[in-house]
Amino acid sequence: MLEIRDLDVAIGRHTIVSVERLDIPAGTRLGIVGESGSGKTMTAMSIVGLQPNTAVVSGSVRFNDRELVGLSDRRLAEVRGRDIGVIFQDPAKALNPMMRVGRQVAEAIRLHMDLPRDRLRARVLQLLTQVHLPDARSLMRRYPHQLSGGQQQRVLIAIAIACDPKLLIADEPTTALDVTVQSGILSLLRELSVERKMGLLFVSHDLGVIQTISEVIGVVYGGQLVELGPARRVIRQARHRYTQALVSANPGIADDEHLGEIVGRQLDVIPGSVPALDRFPSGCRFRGRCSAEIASCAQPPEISVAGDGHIFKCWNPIEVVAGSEGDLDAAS
Amino acid sequence: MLDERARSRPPVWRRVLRLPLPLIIGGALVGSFLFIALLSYVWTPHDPLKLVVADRLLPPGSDRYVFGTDKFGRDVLSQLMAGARNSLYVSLLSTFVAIVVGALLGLLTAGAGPFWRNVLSRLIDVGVALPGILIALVLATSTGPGNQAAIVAITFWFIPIAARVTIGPARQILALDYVEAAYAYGRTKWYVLLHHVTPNIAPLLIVLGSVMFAAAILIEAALAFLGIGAQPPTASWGRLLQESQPLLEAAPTLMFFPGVAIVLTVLGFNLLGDGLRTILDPQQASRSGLI
Amino acid sequence: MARVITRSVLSLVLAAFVGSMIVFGLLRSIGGNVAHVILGQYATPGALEALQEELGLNAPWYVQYFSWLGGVFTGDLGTSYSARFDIFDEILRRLGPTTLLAFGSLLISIPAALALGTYSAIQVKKLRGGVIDVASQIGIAIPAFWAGLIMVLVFGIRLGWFPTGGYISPFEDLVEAVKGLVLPTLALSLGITSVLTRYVRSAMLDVMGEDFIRTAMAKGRTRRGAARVHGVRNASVSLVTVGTLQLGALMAGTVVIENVFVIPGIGRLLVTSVLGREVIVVQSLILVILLMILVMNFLMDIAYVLIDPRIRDSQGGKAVA
Repeated sequence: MLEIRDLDVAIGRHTIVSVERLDIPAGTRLGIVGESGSGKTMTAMSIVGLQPNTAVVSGSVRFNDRELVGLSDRRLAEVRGRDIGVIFQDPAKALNPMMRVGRQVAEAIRLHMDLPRDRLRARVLQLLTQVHLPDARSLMRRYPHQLSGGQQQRVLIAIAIACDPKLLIADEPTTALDVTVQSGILSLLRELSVERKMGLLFVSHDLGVIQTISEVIGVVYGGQLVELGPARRVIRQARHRYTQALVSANPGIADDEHLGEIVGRQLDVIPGSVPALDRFPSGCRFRGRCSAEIASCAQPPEISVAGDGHIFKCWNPIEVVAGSEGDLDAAS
Repeated sequence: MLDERARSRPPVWRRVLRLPLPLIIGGALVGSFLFIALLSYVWTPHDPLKLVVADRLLPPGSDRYVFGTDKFGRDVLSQLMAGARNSLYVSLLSTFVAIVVGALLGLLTAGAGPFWRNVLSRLIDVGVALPGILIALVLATSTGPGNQAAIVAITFWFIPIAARVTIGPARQILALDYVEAAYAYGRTKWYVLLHHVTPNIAPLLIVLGSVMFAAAILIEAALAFLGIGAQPPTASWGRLLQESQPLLEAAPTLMFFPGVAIVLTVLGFNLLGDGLRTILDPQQASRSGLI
Repeated sequence: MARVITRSVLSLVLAAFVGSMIVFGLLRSIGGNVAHVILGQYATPGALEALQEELGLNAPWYVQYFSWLGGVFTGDLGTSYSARFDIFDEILRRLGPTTLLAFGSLLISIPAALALGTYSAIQVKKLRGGVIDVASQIGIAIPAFWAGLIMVLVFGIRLGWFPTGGYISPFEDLVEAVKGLVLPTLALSLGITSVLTRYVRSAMLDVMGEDFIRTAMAKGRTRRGAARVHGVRNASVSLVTVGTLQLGALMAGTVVIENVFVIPGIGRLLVTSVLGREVIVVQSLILVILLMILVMNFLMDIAYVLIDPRIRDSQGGKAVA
């Protein structure tokens, strides 16, 4: 459904995102994980032309065989909301503070459908109910600041799914919310994706969150996709050193069965931090923070296939014991 | 090594052209203004105050009078040059004093304890909110009209503004770690304010100075136009405009030239301020570039 | 809502009180002896004494202050020294033209600035946006009185479309009154519109970086559509806040413009009184101008509350970030 090929996003002279290949088949829930500043948000936003004004996008993004890169703002606007919905990180800021909630939801429908007033209103109510907002009728008349963070995010989800899009891009939708509210939003997104057979591109820095919602996980570092594969494989049999470090830095990711192998370095911290845009080393971008650097890492790594849709870019990948790989394949 | 670097550096004109456009245009306009004003101290085509009855109200382009003459036969170009001198004198003095006093007041407020800081900043807020023109008029009533009234009025008008602008950044810098460290070395508050805070807010004050200079020129002209500022025979752009009003129909160019002089000079200082802001405050520059 | 208005009214009264004290205090402290200022340096001791007596200057300052302030309410501000008019009546008579001029300019400037600023912010990378930016920069540099003189020359003298000066009350002849106000109002609006346009432009540029603009685009709005529907209203909130700061400039402009167009308003009386050293008249006129600024400020506060639902809910004027 969505096919990304050689997507580059540049600001000034610096290429900050470069993704060679990423597909989202219809109805699939893909999670993109990476540290802040890794370019994951930029990748997601550039799909629908919502990147900052200064960023230049090149390459190819095809949505149901329609090329999106290079479309005018007007043409892209037709795709946004109708075919691809988007929700953002900070619900408190993502709603217009001066407009009633109902009107903001209605706007999303009116932009793509011509409905009479009463049916429009009914549709808004229906949407607000679908995102499990109680008392939708009075909620419509309220202003965003009168809602809680969780309610605001549900309103935003209602806006994003207003026209039954085939793909929903969710950029850190739970990061700004309380942990208790988070799980509610996550299960709502999963539910909507399953019921409507709606693809989901879920971006987060939180591997735990990504793991709960995704079928496929992509790991981004320094604007590049370094590992991509089925969720269980990427987490339990990470091949890229960065993925492994990420898993180690997140306690409680793996289930009991595999706890043993992780427990020793459970609270590991990845040394250093993501360098500034123009400070990445040549070759593998993780070089310098990686614990298993070898000579060839000075060259840009190539894509290696680990089997069954699992790919990675590392010169010195983590070796996997043949037995456990078999186990996993059998299990999944 | 030195040669190498000198050779690799682009020539001066090329580096100038790389500066932001407002800075170049503003700099050129301000430069011309300063040049003309200073030149008028030593040379003007004619004596700006000399009355030549035979040459009354000559149109521009007349023999010997490029911009023509006024109703007393005085040379307009010479008067414009002398007017630039008056603008420079009034605006420079008032802006300079206002910024020095205002910045000191701002530093004092920023460095004071919570009680005095609150009292002082409230007072400064009141000063900012008071319409400056009213203060100017009050002062002029008491002191009588003249350049002096204009200078005092503009100075009083600008002091609270300069103080207000200084307080915020000064407080931010005072809260920084290295400033705390300076205290730990046993430096006094005034030492820290002058040696650590002032250099950091200097770019801000330079930008403020440029913008205030533009405002001062407008105010000087307005006060002179109303008869409250510069008095005859002092040449002032505002007064030239006042004198041109009864002759609007007969000699419209008398109204034209001083106005253009004001617009170009004010524009120059405002553009210069904008340009300086972009190069002195990289954060702001990149922010405006992002949108 | 009612609470917010009550609060605004209270702060209006308080500010007026403080303002009157400052005006009074400034004139007394800087000017020195009032009778001396009025009569000039060659006054005889006898004349000074007589004037002191007439103006009640021998009383303590607080008695003078409160009797002056009381006069504002009872309509007795005394008589002008040289022109011998009743100050209160004269001010009332001159309030009309000034009010029309000031409010007329605001009515032109605010919508014009909103439209121009928004447009130039949306077209920020294009030529047309740049033209507005440059034009507003020039507009700020043009002194209101020069703009007035040019308009008088072009539209008054050369084309003869509008009168070159004077004032006709709208109660006498509405058409002529409006015709007479066109040029002064436009001359006064030029600078204010330019300043406000720049504010709107930068406010719009800020708003365009807000998340809710991105949300609107995600719904299917174009960047321009999002600016129109969601940007303008949010940017106008900050326009209201900076607008209040421009009121002083507006009144200053009114003073100058009344003198260009010979409009018998507060500003013209103020300048003649300043030149005639009529301390008592100046003091009262300045209070009136201050009150006008405060009232406009109050109206803008109300507009602020009406525009922004967040303020409506909060207890007072405190904006939610």
